[in-house]
Amino acid sequence: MPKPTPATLDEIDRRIIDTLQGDFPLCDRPYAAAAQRLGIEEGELIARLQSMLARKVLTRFGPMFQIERMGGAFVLAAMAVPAAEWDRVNSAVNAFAEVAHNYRRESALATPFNMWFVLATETKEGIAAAVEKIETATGLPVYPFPKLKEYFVEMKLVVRNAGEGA
Amino acid sequence: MSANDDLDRRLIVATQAGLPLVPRPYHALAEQLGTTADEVMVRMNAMEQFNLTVQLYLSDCFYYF
Repeated sequence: MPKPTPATLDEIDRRIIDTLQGDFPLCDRPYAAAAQRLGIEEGELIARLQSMLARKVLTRFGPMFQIERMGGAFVLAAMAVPAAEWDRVNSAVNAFAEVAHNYRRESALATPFNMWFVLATETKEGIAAAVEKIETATGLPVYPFPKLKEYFVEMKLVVRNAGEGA
Repeated sequence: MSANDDLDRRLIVATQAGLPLVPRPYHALAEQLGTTADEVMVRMNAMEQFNLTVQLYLSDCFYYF
Protein backbone atom coordinates (compact mmCIF):
# COMPACT_ATOMS: atom_id res chain seq x y z
CA MET A 1 0.00 0.00 0.00
CA PRO A 2 1.57 3.35 -0.97
CA LYS A 3 2.30 5.61 1.94
CA PRO A 4 -0.34 8.37 2.03
CA THR A 5 0.78 11.97 1.97
CA PRO A 6 0.31 13.61 5.36
CA ALA A 7 -3.15 15.13 5.46
CA THR A 8 -3.65 18.85 5.74
CA LEU A 9 -6.45 19.39 8.20
CA ASP A 10 -7.57 22.69 9.54
CA GLU A 11 -9.11 23.18 12.94
CA ILE A 12 -12.68 22.59 11.71
CA ASP A 13 -11.70 19.34 9.93
CA ARG A 14 -10.11 18.12 13.14
CA ARG A 15 -13.17 19.00 15.18
CA ILE A 16 -15.40 17.20 12.66
CA ILE A 17 -13.33 14.02 13.01
CA ASP A 18 -13.17 14.27 16.79
CA THR A 19 -16.88 15.03 17.17
CA LEU A 20 -18.48 12.61 14.71
CA GLN A 21 -16.65 9.45 15.75
CA GLY A 22 -19.04 7.18 17.52
CA ASP A 23 -21.97 9.54 17.36
CA PHE A 24 -24.04 10.65 14.42
CA PRO A 25 -27.66 11.80 14.68
CA LEU A 26 -30.63 9.77 13.45
CA CYS A 27 -33.05 12.46 12.34
CA ASP A 28 -34.36 14.01 9.14
CA ARG A 29 -31.35 16.23 8.59
CA PRO A 30 -28.49 14.64 10.52
CA TYR A 31 -25.78 16.73 8.86
CA ALA A 32 -27.63 19.90 9.85
CA ALA A 33 -27.90 18.66 13.44
CA ALA A 34 -24.23 17.66 13.58
CA ALA A 35 -23.18 20.93 11.93
CA GLN A 36 -25.07 22.91 14.52
CA ARG A 37 -23.11 21.19 17.28
CA LEU A 38 -19.92 22.12 15.45
CA GLY A 39 -21.03 25.69 14.89
CA ILE A 40 -20.92 25.44 11.10
CA GLU A 41 -23.48 25.21 8.28
CA GLU A 42 -24.92 21.91 7.03
CA GLY A 43 -23.50 22.54 3.53
CA GLU A 44 -20.04 23.19 4.92
CA LEU A 45 -20.04 19.94 6.91
CA ILE A 46 -21.07 17.94 3.83
CA ALA A 47 -18.50 19.73 1.66
CA ARG A 48 -15.73 19.12 4.21
CA LEU A 49 -16.60 15.42 4.51
CA GLN A 50 -16.60 15.16 0.70
CA SER A 51 -13.23 16.89 0.57
CA MET A 52 -11.68 14.67 3.27
CA LEU A 53 -12.98 11.58 1.46
CA ALA A 54 -11.64 12.85 -1.87
CA ARG A 55 -8.24 13.51 -0.26
CA LYS A 56 -8.37 10.05 1.38
CA VAL A 57 -8.05 11.62 4.81
CA LEU A 58 -11.16 9.59 5.51
CA THR A 59 -11.60 6.29 3.76
CA ARG A 60 -15.24 5.87 4.72
CA PHE A 61 -17.93 7.81 6.49
CA GLY A 62 -20.85 5.62 7.41
CA PRO A 63 -22.49 3.36 9.97
CA MET A 64 -20.65 0.37 11.42
CA PHE A 65 -23.12 -2.44 11.75
CA GLN A 66 -22.63 -5.24 14.23
CA ILE A 67 -22.78 -7.94 11.61
CA GLU A 68 -21.86 -10.69 14.05
CA ARG A 69 -25.01 -9.95 16.06
CA MET A 70 -26.95 -10.33 12.83
CA GLY A 71 -25.58 -13.77 12.01
CA GLY A 72 -22.65 -12.63 9.92
CA ALA A 73 -19.00 -13.39 10.52
CA PHE A 74 -15.59 -11.74 10.40
CA VAL A 75 -12.43 -13.85 10.30
CA LEU A 76 -8.81 -12.82 9.98
CA ALA A 77 -7.07 -14.90 7.30
CA ALA A 78 -3.52 -15.26 6.08
CA MET A 79 -1.69 -16.63 3.07
CA ALA A 80 1.95 -17.39 2.32
CA VAL A 81 2.42 -15.79 -1.08
CA PRO A 82 5.70 -16.27 -3.02
CA ALA A 83 7.17 -12.87 -3.93
CA ALA A 84 7.15 -13.68 -7.66
CA GLU A 85 3.42 -14.40 -7.52
CA TRP A 86 2.46 -11.47 -5.34
CA ASP A 87 0.69 -9.31 -7.95
CA ARG A 88 -1.32 -12.14 -9.43
CA VAL A 89 -2.46 -13.46 -6.05
CA ASN A 90 -3.12 -9.97 -4.71
CA SER A 91 -5.44 -9.11 -7.62
CA ALA A 92 -7.23 -12.44 -7.35
CA VAL A 93 -7.79 -12.03 -3.59
CA ASN A 94 -8.94 -8.42 -3.84
CA ALA A 95 -11.52 -9.37 -6.48
CA PHE A 96 -13.62 -11.08 -3.79
CA ALA A 97 -16.32 -8.94 -2.18
CA GLU A 98 -15.78 -10.87 1.08
CA VAL A 99 -12.21 -9.55 1.40
CA ALA A 100 -11.37 -6.34 3.27
CA HIS A 101 -8.26 -4.77 4.73
CA ASN A 102 -5.74 -6.76 2.76
CA TYR A 103 -2.19 -5.99 3.93
CA ARG A 104 1.26 -7.23 3.05
CA ARG A 105 3.04 -7.70 6.36
CA GLU A 106 6.46 -8.74 7.49
CA SER A 107 7.41 -10.51 10.70
CA ALA A 108 10.54 -10.89 12.78
CA LEU A 109 9.44 -14.44 13.48
CA ALA A 110 9.88 -17.21 10.98
CA THR A 111 6.29 -17.21 9.75
CA PRO A 112 5.62 -17.85 6.08
CA PHE A 113 2.52 -15.66 6.18
CA ASN A 114 2.92 -12.35 4.38
CA MET A 115 -0.63 -11.55 3.20
CA TRP A 116 -3.26 -10.85 5.82
CA PHE A 117 -6.85 -9.85 5.26
CA VAL A 118 -10.28 -9.97 6.84
CA LEU A 119 -13.10 -12.10 5.47
CA ALA A 120 -16.59 -10.77 6.12
CA THR A 121 -19.60 -12.89 5.21
CA GLU A 122 -23.33 -12.73 5.81
CA THR A 123 -23.40 -16.11 7.55
CA LYS A 124 -20.90 -18.01 9.69
CA GLU A 125 -20.92 -20.81 7.11
CA GLY A 126 -19.95 -18.31 4.42
CA ILE A 127 -16.37 -18.15 5.75
CA ALA A 128 -15.51 -21.70 4.70
CA ALA A 129 -17.05 -21.11 1.28
CA ALA A 130 -15.05 -17.89 0.83
CA VAL A 131 -11.82 -19.64 1.85
CA GLU A 132 -12.48 -22.36 -0.71
CA LYS A 133 -13.23 -19.85 -3.49
CA ILE A 134 -10.02 -17.92 -2.81
CA GLU A 135 -7.99 -21.14 -2.73
CA THR A 136 -9.45 -22.17 -6.07
CA ALA A 137 -8.79 -18.76 -7.63
CA THR A 138 -5.22 -18.44 -6.35
CA GLY A 139 -4.06 -22.04 -6.18
CA LEU A 140 -2.69 -21.32 -2.70
CA PRO A 141 -3.98 -22.32 0.74
CA VAL A 142 -5.84 -19.76 2.85
CA TYR A 143 -5.50 -20.04 6.63
CA PRO A 144 -8.37 -18.60 8.67
CA PHE A 145 -7.59 -17.44 12.22
CA PRO A 146 -10.94 -17.45 14.02
CA LYS A 147 -10.96 -15.40 17.16
CA LEU A 148 -11.20 -17.09 20.53
CA LYS A 149 -12.13 -14.00 22.47
CA GLU A 150 -12.72 -10.37 21.62
CA TYR A 151 -10.96 -7.99 23.98
CA PHE A 152 -11.19 -4.53 22.50
CA VAL A 153 -12.07 -3.25 19.09
CA GLU A 154 -13.14 0.33 19.25
CA MET A 155 -10.61 2.90 18.22
CA LYS A 156 -11.23 6.58 18.39
CA LEU A 157 -8.67 9.04 17.20
CA VAL A 158 -7.95 12.48 18.50
CA VAL A 159 -6.54 14.65 15.76
CA ARG A 160 -3.92 17.17 16.80
CA ASN A 161 -1.80 19.72 15.06
CA ALA A 162 1.67 18.55 14.12
CA GLY A 163 3.95 19.48 17.00
CA GLU A 164 1.10 19.71 19.47
CA GLY A 165 2.27 17.48 22.31
CA ALA A 166 0.15 14.85 24.05
CA MET B 1 -35.44 -14.76 5.73
CA SER B 2 -38.05 -12.29 6.94
CA ALA B 3 -38.75 -8.98 5.24
CA ASN B 4 -37.09 -7.21 8.18
CA ASP B 5 -33.93 -9.26 7.93
CA ASP B 6 -33.83 -8.59 4.24
CA LEU B 7 -34.19 -4.85 4.79
CA ASP B 8 -31.34 -4.98 7.33
CA ARG B 9 -29.19 -6.79 4.82
CA ARG B 10 -30.04 -4.36 2.03
CA LEU B 11 -29.35 -1.44 4.35
CA ILE B 12 -25.88 -2.79 5.10
CA VAL B 13 -25.18 -3.22 1.41
CA ALA B 14 -26.54 0.25 0.62
CA THR B 15 -24.31 1.91 3.24
CA GLN B 16 -21.21 -0.19 2.62
CA ALA B 17 -19.50 2.67 0.80
CA GLY B 18 -20.75 5.12 3.42
CA LEU B 19 -23.71 7.25 4.39
CA PRO B 20 -24.98 9.37 1.45
CA LEU B 21 -23.52 12.88 1.69
CA VAL B 22 -26.80 14.65 1.04
CA PRO B 23 -28.89 16.74 3.47
CA ARG B 24 -31.39 13.91 4.00
CA PRO B 25 -29.31 10.73 3.84
CA TYR B 26 -31.90 8.48 5.49
CA HIS B 27 -34.54 9.65 2.99
CA ALA B 28 -32.12 8.93 0.15
CA LEU B 29 -31.54 5.40 1.49
CA ALA B 30 -35.29 4.90 1.95
CA GLU B 31 -35.98 5.87 -1.64
CA GLN B 32 -33.25 3.55 -2.87
CA LEU B 33 -34.59 0.65 -0.78
CA GLY B 34 -38.30 1.25 -1.37
CA THR B 35 -39.16 2.05 2.24
CA THR B 36 -39.64 5.10 4.47
CA ALA B 37 -36.99 7.24 6.15
CA ASP B 38 -38.57 6.44 9.53
CA GLU B 39 -38.17 2.72 8.84
CA VAL B 40 -34.52 3.26 7.84
CA MET B 41 -33.84 5.13 11.08
CA VAL B 42 -35.65 2.50 13.16
CA ARG B 43 -33.72 -0.31 11.48
CA MET B 44 -30.40 1.48 11.84
CA ASN B 45 -31.08 2.15 15.48
CA ALA B 46 -32.12 -1.47 16.10
CA MET B 47 -29.14 -2.90 14.26
CA GLU B 48 -26.76 -0.75 16.17
CA GLN B 49 -28.52 -0.83 19.50
CA PHE B 50 -25.32 -1.49 21.39
CA ASN B 51 -23.26 0.98 19.60
CA LEU B 52 -24.73 3.59 17.30
CA THR B 53 -21.60 4.73 15.60
CA VAL B 54 -20.48 6.52 12.57
CA GLN B 55 -16.87 5.61 12.14
CA LEU B 56 -14.28 7.66 10.39
CA TYR B 57 -11.37 5.61 9.24
CA LEU B 58 -8.23 7.63 8.83
CA SER B 59 -6.08 6.32 6.02
CA ASP B 60 -3.18 4.25 7.27
CA CYS B 61 -4.69 4.10 10.76
CA PHE B 62 -7.17 1.26 10.65
CA TYR B 63 -6.27 -1.74 12.73
CA TYR B 64 -7.84 -5.16 13.01
CA PHE B 65 -7.13 -7.53 15.85
